[in-house]
Amino acid sequence: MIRDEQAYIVGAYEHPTRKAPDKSVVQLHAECAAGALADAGLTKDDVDGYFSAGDEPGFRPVSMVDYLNLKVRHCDFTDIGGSAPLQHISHAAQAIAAGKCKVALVTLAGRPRSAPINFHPDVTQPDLLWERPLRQSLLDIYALCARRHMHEYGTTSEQLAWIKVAASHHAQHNPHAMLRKVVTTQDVLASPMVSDPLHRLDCCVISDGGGAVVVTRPEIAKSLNRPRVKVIGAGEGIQGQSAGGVELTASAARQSGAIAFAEAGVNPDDIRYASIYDSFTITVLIALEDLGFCEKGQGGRFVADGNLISGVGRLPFNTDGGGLCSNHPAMRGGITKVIEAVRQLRGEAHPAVQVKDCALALAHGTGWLMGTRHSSATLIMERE
Amino acid sequence: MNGTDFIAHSPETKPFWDAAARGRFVLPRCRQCDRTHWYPRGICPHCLSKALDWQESPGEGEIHSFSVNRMGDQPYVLAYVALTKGPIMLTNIVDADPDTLSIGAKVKVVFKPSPEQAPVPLFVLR
Repeated sequence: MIRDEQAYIVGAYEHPTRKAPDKSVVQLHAECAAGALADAGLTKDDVDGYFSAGDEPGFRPVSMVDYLNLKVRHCDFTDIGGSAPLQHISHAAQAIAAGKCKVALVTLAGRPRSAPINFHPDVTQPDLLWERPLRQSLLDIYALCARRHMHEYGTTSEQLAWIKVAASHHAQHNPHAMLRKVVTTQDVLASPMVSDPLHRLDCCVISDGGGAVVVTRPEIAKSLNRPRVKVIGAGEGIQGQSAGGVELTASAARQSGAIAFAEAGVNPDDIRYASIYDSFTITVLIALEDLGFCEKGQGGRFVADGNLISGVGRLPFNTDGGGLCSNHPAMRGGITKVIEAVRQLRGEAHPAVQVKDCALALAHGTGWLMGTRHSSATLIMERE
Repeated sequence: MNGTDFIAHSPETKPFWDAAARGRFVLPRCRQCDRTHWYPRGICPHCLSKALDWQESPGEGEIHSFSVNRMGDQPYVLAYVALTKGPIMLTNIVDADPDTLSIGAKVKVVFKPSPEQAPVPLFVLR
């Protein structure tokens, strides 16, 4: 149980850039690392654990550790896609509990906006052989989930649009957000149909940038002059196509959420704020159901009429504007999900979106492709 | 990217492509657990047995879900097709007006040349 073992998030930093034409990827990682350590009141020499998803060029984490001149005795470079940073924080907490490290640094950064990713398919990837000739984009895969959800549960495009509307209400207060204009459901429905049934405004932004988080032991956390955010539950999961029995309306969040809630000893009703990975509006809808914020099939009703808008609805979500409006660094925005949850728990979110007395928050990531094979990672954090 | 590289790196699936080249649609079936699977692989993903046969399938089923990508000059349709008494597979629906498609529509396999590799199993409306 993570709750008993106790690890604290003491530093968090989100890179303000959304376009970095003149910076290298390692530089972005390093600036994020420096920002998170400064936020915590620690130095790079305090770091003895390093976690990343291997977004770095070259020898990846090995090059990155060398570039930062870190002296680490524990490292984990698991890449499960966009949910990886959430998993890394869980793994860091476990490593800290096991005495493998004391100060763990998690970084994520990339610049897909300035240097579009040139996808070189791995010819040894077994599933790609059966997908590559179909010329689908990842957008098309998520659209399959949306269509099936609409078919099974009567979910509508307008209900999905409410998720973008909520994100845009929050993004108007974030000076760094790429899309700050408040939109209506009509705006979303009037935007071009990119992969039917998903519209352009159902999609996240493409941005450069990154973020970093510092996790540490209780006694170090208590020595720092920062509000303490405790990791009290963490779960992860992977869901595939089940050898031909794919489920398009449910995700690995069923598993990661259940584990995280059980570890934390709390229920969805207790959560005051939720960061939900939002590559597309449908990603959020399915995650909300699978995490237990509403019954399966009721996600459309749950998000309609602004239930995700801070100050208005029952479950404020992605109060920085999220991937749908603010940023999606490295095409995998998991770390920003944690950072905004930390801001909320510390009371450091923008006053217009800050949840009053936010003592318990959830952050959830979805990695790779919901609809084919994907990962998830869920964290539950408590303000102490 | 030369698609034949994919097949070359997947010798376990060669019987599928050999059959496809003759216009035959075959599915891997496990002799141990008597189940088919998709996508094809050299070990049964239901029971991990290596005792697999290739069984000819009529290639008929229905649309489980579909999306219509409208970003290019020509829309294209990605779909999951649920084969009759078989696995659900990712594919394209071709030679059909996307606006006429629906979940549950009956479809049948066709093989179409791929720009990237050998003829691949796609589906048309029945």
